[in-house]
Amino acid sequence: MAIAGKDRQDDWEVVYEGASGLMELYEADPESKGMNAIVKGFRNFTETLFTAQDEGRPIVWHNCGCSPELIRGIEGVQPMPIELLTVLQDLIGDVNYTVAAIDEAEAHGVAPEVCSIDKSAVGLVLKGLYPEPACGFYFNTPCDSQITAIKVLTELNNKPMRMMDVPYLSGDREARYLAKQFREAIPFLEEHTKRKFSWEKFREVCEESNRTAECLRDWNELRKHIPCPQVSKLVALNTALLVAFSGDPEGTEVAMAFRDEAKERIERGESAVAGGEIYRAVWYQDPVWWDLQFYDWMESELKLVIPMDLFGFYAAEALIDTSTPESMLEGLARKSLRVMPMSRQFKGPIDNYIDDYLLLCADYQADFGIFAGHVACKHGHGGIGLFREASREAGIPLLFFEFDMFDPRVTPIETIQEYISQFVEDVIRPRKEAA
Amino acid sequence: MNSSLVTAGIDIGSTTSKAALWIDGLLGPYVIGPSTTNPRATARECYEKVIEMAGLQATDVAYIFGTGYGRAKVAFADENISEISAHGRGARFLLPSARTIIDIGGQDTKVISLDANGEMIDFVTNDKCAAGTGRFLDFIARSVGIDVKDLAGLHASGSYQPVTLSSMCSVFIESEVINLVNDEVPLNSIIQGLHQAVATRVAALVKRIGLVQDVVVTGGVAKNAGLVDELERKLAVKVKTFPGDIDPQILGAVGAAIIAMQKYLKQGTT
Repeated sequence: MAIAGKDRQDDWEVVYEGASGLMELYEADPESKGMNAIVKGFRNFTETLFTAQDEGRPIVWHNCGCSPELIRGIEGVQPMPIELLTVLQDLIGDVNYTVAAIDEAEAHGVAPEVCSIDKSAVGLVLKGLYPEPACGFYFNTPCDSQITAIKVLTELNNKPMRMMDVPYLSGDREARYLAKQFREAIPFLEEHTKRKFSWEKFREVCEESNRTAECLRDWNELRKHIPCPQVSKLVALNTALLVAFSGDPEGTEVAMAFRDEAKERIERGESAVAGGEIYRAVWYQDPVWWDLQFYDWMESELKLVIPMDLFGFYAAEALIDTSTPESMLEGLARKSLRVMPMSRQFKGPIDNYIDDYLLLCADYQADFGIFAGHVACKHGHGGIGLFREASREAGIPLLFFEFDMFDPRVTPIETIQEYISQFVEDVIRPRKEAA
Repeated sequence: MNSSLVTAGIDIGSTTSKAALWIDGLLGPYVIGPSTTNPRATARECYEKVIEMAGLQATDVAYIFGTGYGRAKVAFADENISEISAHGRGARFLLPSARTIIDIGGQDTKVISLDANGEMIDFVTNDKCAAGTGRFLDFIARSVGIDVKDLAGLHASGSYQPVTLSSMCSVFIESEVINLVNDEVPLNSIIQGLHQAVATRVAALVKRIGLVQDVVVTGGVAKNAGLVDELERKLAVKVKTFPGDIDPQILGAVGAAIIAMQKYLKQGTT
């Protein structure tokens, strides 16, 4: 089956076929409600995007630091994260297409040290794979690489863009500062999409976003259960859910599926690990998105489960207050500053970053932490010494290694498996036995 | 044989192979020999030699653990364990105050960190580069026509005036050292500089994991007093030695023998 619509290219077909194949696989398994829902969500998103293009509706590009509720406040406008095709290729398509896009961007002159997802975004635009935007609406978070990519993309597509300046801190003053920028961005979005922003529509979107948030919070709680009821790889997918589906009923459906699956499996006394979990670890920094089967390997070979990671963590901040336009803008600003994974941790004092990690280790009763250092996250690596120190003080063993979350050429999966196996064997198993 | 509890550790390293016996809670005889292209035979040879030295039969040994690079080839071992665990557990058992173990072997350098309870909490290795390893020192010693065993003596001879070596790459440093020899720079200064360069690299590894005292150095290179001296300077700590002057090169084998003893006793109680 091909994607309906015009101007399709092989890259998109690969993703669409991947999603369709996985849906068939998971549909046949009644216990894979969560995976099935998100894969279905990805396929629907792809269809929705191209339907918008075919219908001549405006598409607004945004980046992963941006939660898209404000864009959704304009009826008929389709948000599109610039990371979309890279994430889909890595998760459900063919990572070789991502690799080719990275090479394309580097050949164009993007510095090799820029994050692979941002290089890939540039490569995909160079290849003409994204539907043309009416404009761009971006946040200057979670990292400098995003800003680099956005600058290049803006040069390439020659479309107007608006960049939200996300402040260093995350207090109420900063939320007001960001909310003010949102308000100023509305006329910009209206001008370039040629459509009217609706406060009523925005309220509906924020309410939907809150429904998704409530499901995700419950889901976070349920995954604290011992044994962990659900497979590790689900947590890695939560950020994709938030970036693509915030404010969209599809997002709530996926979050409900995550939650309900966890609840039902707990009720049935089921564990994510066949034969019973032995080890629990909090995965911090970035997931291995180019090989989700790696998580299956951890569970089956090491009896190791990841109950929570940085991408799955939905911080228990207030929901968006939908009582007034101002409260909605401020609520969305708070979500952007204090909830969105990476944006929450990768700015401000390093204490935010370390405290979340220690909190997750305690809440999810982790035997150890895995700091999977995505090579482009220089802001994360900069704090590794402090991170190690804090882990040592807390008595939580920490495995640190470097890899690239979108490019398997940097550290092959076998090497990552070796790092984890060796650490479990040498550090964690003796500790568990001694305890 | 009487009712003594005898366990064995066989450490098949990249450069040397070691076997040690642990008899009734004390270190028994041990052997150190070169590793060969047939680790299976080397392991057997070391083991037979050490039980012969103890006047024992193979049947007197209750439990055997293999360790080191070639541990999977110790076919007669009951179990095997990584050298990281063997060095960590061995060092802790022999010196309970040890918290940081620096193992400089023939092929790689490892730094092992123990928590206050003696459990391993972290480790780092430099397993992708020869610089800073025993093999590296051996290579440089040979390139200036001396035996690696003489490095410590040369380091201590004459005044302390280490030259600064600009390269740490095993390939490039050889030509740099030869140029210094040709320029008639005193050999002891070159060796001091070499040790300083290695110590700098090892200290960086220690700092990655966090320095906690007491610090011990194990592996064959630990016998090079010049290098240990430089490490103490770089880390600004006094490196501890094991009680009874236990040869630091056999710590892996001793650790494996101790783990074998613990495992045997645990099995007996379950």
